[in-house]
Amino acid sequence: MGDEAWRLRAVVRTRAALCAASLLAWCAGACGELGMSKGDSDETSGFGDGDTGDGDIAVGDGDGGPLPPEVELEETFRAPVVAGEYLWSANPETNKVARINASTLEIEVLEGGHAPTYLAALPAGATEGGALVLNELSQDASIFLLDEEGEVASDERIRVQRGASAWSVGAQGEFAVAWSRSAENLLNSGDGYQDLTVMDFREEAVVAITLSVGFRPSQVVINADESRAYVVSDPGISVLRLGDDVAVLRELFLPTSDVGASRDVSFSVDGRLAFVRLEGESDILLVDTETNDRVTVSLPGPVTDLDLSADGSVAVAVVRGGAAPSDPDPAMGGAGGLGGAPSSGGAVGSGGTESPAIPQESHIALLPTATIFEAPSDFTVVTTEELVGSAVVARDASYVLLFTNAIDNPYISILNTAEQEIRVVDLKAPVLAAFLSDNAEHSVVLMKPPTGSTKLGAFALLPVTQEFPARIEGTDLAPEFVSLSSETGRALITTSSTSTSRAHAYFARFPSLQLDEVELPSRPLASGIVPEAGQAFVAQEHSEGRVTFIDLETGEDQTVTGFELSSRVVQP
Amino acid sequence: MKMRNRGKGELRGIAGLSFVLACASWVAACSASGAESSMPTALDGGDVAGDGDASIGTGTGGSSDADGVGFGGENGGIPVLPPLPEEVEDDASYRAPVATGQYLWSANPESGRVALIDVVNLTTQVLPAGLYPTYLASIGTDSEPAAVVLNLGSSDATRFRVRRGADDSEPEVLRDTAIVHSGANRWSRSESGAWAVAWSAAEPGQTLDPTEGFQDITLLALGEDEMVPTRLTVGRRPSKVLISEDDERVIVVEEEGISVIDPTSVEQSYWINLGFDAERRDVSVNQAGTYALVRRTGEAVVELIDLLDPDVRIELVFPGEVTDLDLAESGRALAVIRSRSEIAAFTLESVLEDPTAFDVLNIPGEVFGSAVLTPDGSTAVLYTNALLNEKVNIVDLGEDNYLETRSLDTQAPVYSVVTSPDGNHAVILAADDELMLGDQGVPANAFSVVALREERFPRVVGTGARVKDVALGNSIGLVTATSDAEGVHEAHLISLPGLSVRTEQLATRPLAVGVFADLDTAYAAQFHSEGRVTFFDFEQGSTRTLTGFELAAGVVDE
Repeated sequence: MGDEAWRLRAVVRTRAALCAASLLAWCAGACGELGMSKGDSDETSGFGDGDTGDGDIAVGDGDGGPLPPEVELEETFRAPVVAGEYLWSANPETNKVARINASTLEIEVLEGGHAPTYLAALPAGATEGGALVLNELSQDASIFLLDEEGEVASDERIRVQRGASAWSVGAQGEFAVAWSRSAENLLNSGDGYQDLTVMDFREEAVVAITLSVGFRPSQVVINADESRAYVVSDPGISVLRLGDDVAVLRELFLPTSDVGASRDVSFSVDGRLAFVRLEGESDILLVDTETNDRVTVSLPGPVTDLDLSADGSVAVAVVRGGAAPSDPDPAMGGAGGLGGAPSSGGAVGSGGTESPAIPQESHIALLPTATIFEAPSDFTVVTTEELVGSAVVARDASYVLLFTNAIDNPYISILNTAEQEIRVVDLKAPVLAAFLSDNAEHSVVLMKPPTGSTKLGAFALLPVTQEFPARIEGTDLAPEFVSLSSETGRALITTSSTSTSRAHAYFARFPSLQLDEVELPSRPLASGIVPEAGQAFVAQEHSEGRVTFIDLETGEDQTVTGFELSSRVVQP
Repeated sequence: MKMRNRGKGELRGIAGLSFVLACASWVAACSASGAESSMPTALDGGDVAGDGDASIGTGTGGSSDADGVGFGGENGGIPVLPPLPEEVEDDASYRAPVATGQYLWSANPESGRVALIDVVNLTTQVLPAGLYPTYLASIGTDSEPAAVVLNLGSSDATRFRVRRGADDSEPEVLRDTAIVHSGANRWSRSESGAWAVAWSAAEPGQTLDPTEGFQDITLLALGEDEMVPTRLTVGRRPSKVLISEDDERVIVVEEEGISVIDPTSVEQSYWINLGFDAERRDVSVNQAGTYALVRRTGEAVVELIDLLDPDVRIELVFPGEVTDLDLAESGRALAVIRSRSEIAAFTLESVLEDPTAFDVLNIPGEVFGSAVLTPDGSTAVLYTNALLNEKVNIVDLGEDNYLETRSLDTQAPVYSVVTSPDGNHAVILAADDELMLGDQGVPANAFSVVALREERFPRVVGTGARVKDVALGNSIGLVTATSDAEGVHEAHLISLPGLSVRTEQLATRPLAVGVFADLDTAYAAQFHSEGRVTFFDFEQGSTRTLTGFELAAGVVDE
């Protein structure tokens, strides 16, 4: 194998873990008979047929047909960030913004604008940090900046565009973008939500610049050095120049689907490279956002998910195998081999009359972001018999969680990218979404209640790097928020509430997987973990404010109520 | 490492401890306490599904022998049985009173109290516990009797330790409490008395939500001053928790694997993946906690796993599907190959050196799928409850008459077998021949007492109601039978080695039984709002019933 080992197209035939050495040895001897091609970058014919071997995946084409698209649900459950040891809470009904010290439970109540609603933390860097709040009804933003002692030094109000409903904030806190998410329905039905406000925090006074971008933005990303911002909208990508001369630098059109299929766009950490996936297409379009040069990476079937690791080193593309199975419990499948199939130039087509063939096995392509643009066929593909269509990638790309939520499927696959081996775990309930800790050691997986269950939700605490059993927990109501802190080894899963049933917060400890349940007095609005303060919190619906804190060490909880009246009650 | 595929088919829960292992652990507990008591063999309608498919069929095909058991064809000259359903393993009750030394501990969930009864003089102390004390375990010795009870309502455990003075004054009882996880309903303890584990399992007949995993356990360090609890998470639906002889490992057998935990560092040392739960299997662990034997339904291969080095896995390949596997304290093991009417006898020591070092014995014309080994591993009792079969086969595994067999007709279909601690005798429970068909089986209105190591006719006893509990010591035994509908509550007192059986009527429904071997006394705890226990003194031939002891005004009926 020699130098080619890094391009090994690993084929995983069993659900049990394989040690790296044995995998390599086995591949060395068995590649030929398994029909596994090693993938030459010069090949243009792409993917080997693969030997379906001793157990074709049990996918039906009769009553099944194509599976529905995968659904990215992780963002739905994501808890908001907090700033240092402080928790910020906005109350649109009272026009107040509360800053709570999670360590001491000291509370500072600040005046917001009219209906302060959309809140984001401003990290320390250009300033000492603070919080940004969009006031929905006064068309402005309240900017709370801290001084060196951590006290609120200023609470400036900056005018923003009508309908502003989302923040994107740079990592050093130099720039923030207040933009308008059409899903919030704050403007007329035909409006394009195309205005946004860039805020520059580098000088003493906050500078705000209003720009116009593409129709109905869906995503705003600021690159690592805060020199660019990228706005993904219906027609494509608006590239914004940040720095001293904030402006729209260029606009890049992206392919769209005639049939309205979804498209998702991911950016490398420096923002130079955009990875574009179009639902139902086998090609991934790579766009150089500085030059508008484009290449495509071809995969053996329609790409159902594309995610970049947070460190930007690897993009993971998933090609879901098979069609809807008549039996959702696939039997062991065989192995497939594949090679690269590069093409360059041009754009991804908008879909022809023929749909790409759907392979029987699922393929996971690991695309090295540093080289993939120049060598679009040099990447690693791992093949599995499991039906997987979604990926959650570890920050350092060391592990990838793979599952499908297109059908009810209780199996989640853990791909060790270095060893290229897959471990499959049966979580007993259909997987919906997965969350990985920053160090990739642990995961929280949300599931649907399985058939026959009286529960309305379920989740699992899943050890990732070590082969220990998952802890599975049914919940009386559906989980709503998930927070994971690798720093403290804690997670918080909060359920919804109903008029007859109270919400619960499940406080999890890793690696022991110990789980404590806390009944919450009212409906949760947000939850999170404040590592600096050693607390987890659940902000709840209450006319004068209510937050339940959970000590990360002892698991003891206490609820602070009525802090906006300065007559707070602490309930241990 | 053997790699397993995910199986298909219905996901099934794993039933509790096998009857055989329940007996073994009981015997071990008796040895430590010196009292052959607290036999957890309640057959009170519990979940007896075992690991396997519970549907019971009848023998079909081929020519029937005298018992109506059919053989279908031959394989290499050996008649081969047609496919039969899984053997059914019995389950244990965990709510029974427990005994240490001369004391009987009895918990009353309703009153929140635990009664400590001195069996010698029938004096009683009523001790406050937590909320809804339910599950008791003996954790003491003859010299320092102690027990611990799980309080379901308050999710804690209360420990009671008896400190006797030099005189005959009432002993002092020390009490302390530790928090345990919610829903704990099982106990396991180390032989040394240093550790106990509270864990959770399904109650008999309980229908589990598919998301219910019982993954919490609480490890209790039984220190002199106080119990120190540590909560841990293990794999889904544990079926067995053991602490190794050297106290260095807590071994938890689960639906999909085995967790091995270091109790001192309270960290999960490693997890042994046995495969997805659709694959039915049972796991036996030797007393030292060093090896596990894994039998998988439908397979001829039994896996031997080194629990100290889980990468070491040895496959023992037997001549046919292994329907039962029993492992004695001595390390002697027996695999039953029902389809070939064969057993394979081996020791862990021998197969560790050579995986083929087992002796196969064919018993022509006999049908057996289950085996019970005596604690010393010197005798095996073979039977089947997969079909109606009245015969048991007794196999000598001792050195002198190795693999000699004899067949006994118990005059009724066999349901299960309980052996005495010394292995000299066994009580064989009869199966209800109507319910047995297509059902999981229940004990019938009969049992027999057999001598395992001498040529004796089985003593067959008909009872007035279904047999409920069995407690068997070396010289005495007690079997209860009960029917609320018919108002029949019986205690059958067994004297050994004479095989004589005397029947006494009980006033109310028996809940649990046990024997105090050193005192030649057996007891039957019964249903009564303020507590009722009947003691049978075999030496004196007397029967005394203690009623209302929880009111601290116990009435003794001689």
